[in-house]
Amino acid sequence: MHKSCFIRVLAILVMAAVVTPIHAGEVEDFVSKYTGENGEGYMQPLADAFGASLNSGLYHDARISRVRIRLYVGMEAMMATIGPDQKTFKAKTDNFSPEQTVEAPTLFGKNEPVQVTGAGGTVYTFPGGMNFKRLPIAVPQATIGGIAGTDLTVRWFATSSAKDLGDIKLVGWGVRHSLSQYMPLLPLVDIAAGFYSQSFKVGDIVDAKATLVSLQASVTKTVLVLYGGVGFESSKLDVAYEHNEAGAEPVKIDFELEGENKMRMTLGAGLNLPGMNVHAEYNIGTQSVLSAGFGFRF
Amino acid sequence: MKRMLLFTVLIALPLVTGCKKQLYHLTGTINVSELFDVNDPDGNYQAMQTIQSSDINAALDIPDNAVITGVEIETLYFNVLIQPDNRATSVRASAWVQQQGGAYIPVFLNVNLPLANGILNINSLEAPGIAILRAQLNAVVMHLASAGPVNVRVELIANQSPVIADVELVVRGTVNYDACLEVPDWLSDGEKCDIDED
Repeated sequence: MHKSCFIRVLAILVMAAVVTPIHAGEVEDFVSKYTGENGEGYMQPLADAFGASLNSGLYHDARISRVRIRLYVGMEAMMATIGPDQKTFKAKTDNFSPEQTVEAPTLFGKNEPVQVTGAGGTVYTFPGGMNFKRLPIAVPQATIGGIAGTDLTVRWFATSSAKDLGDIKLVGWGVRHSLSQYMPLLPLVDIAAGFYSQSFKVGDIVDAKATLVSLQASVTKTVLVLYGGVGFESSKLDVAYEHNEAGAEPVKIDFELEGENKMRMTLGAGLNLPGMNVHAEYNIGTQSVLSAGFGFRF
Repeated sequence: MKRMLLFTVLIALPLVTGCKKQLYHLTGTINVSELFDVNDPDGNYQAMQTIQSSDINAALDIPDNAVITGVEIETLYFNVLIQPDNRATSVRASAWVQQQGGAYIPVFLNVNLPLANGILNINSLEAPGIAILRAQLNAVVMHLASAGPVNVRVELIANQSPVIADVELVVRGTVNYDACLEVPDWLSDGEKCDIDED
């Protein structure tokens, strides 16, 4: 893959679906130095934030009808807050004498390169980060359900506009089943269990996956819905590309990053207005995510 | 439909407004190399080569609108391709860089290296030579008045003769540069952009 390709891939990841107007061509400037194992530390916070964001905003109540089919079509925006511990990582000099370990900025860290001095006045530079305090993504989402207390949620986004990257595709699905239908003694609380799986691909270069198993509950008072849940999750971000550098042999890069979030708690509130729903939630975990969305109910 | 459009606009507005240019301190890589066609029947090779300014600038891997703030030398290494009739298995390598119109200053001296195909790192470097090399690279990439070609002399003393190989001396460095990128206000706490991009 050419340098410009990688740039676009990262830009797409950072902006996934997506909103920041940083040009794709500028993102590689941050990561061009990291072709070794430092790259994993540099990009790990992206995997954490991206995976945790994908697993957010998947439900906004726990009420699922047993007899009435309903359709919901909406948009979810997720914002992962980047904490101080996600802004630095322990980085090691690569092919530099003597070998040194320092605290260097991650992709989201401070925009100040860190330098160390070696033999004969040589200098090794660890690149700065993008100085991001949050990572936003947005995805379209639809839910259809109401058959035996079960519904299906889908997320889908596809484009082939990026010239030499191949198709960019987000596919997600989830199934929920109402548990409260089996609990007649809890008439005020709706409870459901769900499983969600998502995949985000950019050609053969980026392959991100996220799964969530959650237990959800909600209380509805006229138009107000209070909801929450606990979830067990996993996410993966694999990036494989060939790094081309002027005057040097191409280097194969293959990052396999696993999101740190394993468990989350969700607290949210929504309004069921005529024909539509607006909602917001906070997901507490190793990587916390604020999510909000709106949609139309048919 | 109107309601859908209205909400879409309301949601999208905070995401697309409030952009500003921020100053980013970025780094790129520069690999400057010179190929030495080593073929010495006595196993004692010496040669001087000139790295042209145009080759140094061509090795820059940075955006057009970048403002270079300096070059640092990270390491030097040989990239070796041994030819069939070679008998040498190790070399004692030295290199010098010429001060502007003056003496040759050592960059590394008598470094013992096994002669093998691929990359041979040079871990013992001389500060005076590195300083001159850095200054000369900086002069070229920052278009200073003192910019000019870089003259490098290499000596390889082999353990056996003949020594026959393509030996590329590579100077690997980091280019530090500033560039203004447009980012939303709420996404990043960056520095104000003060680069005149016209």
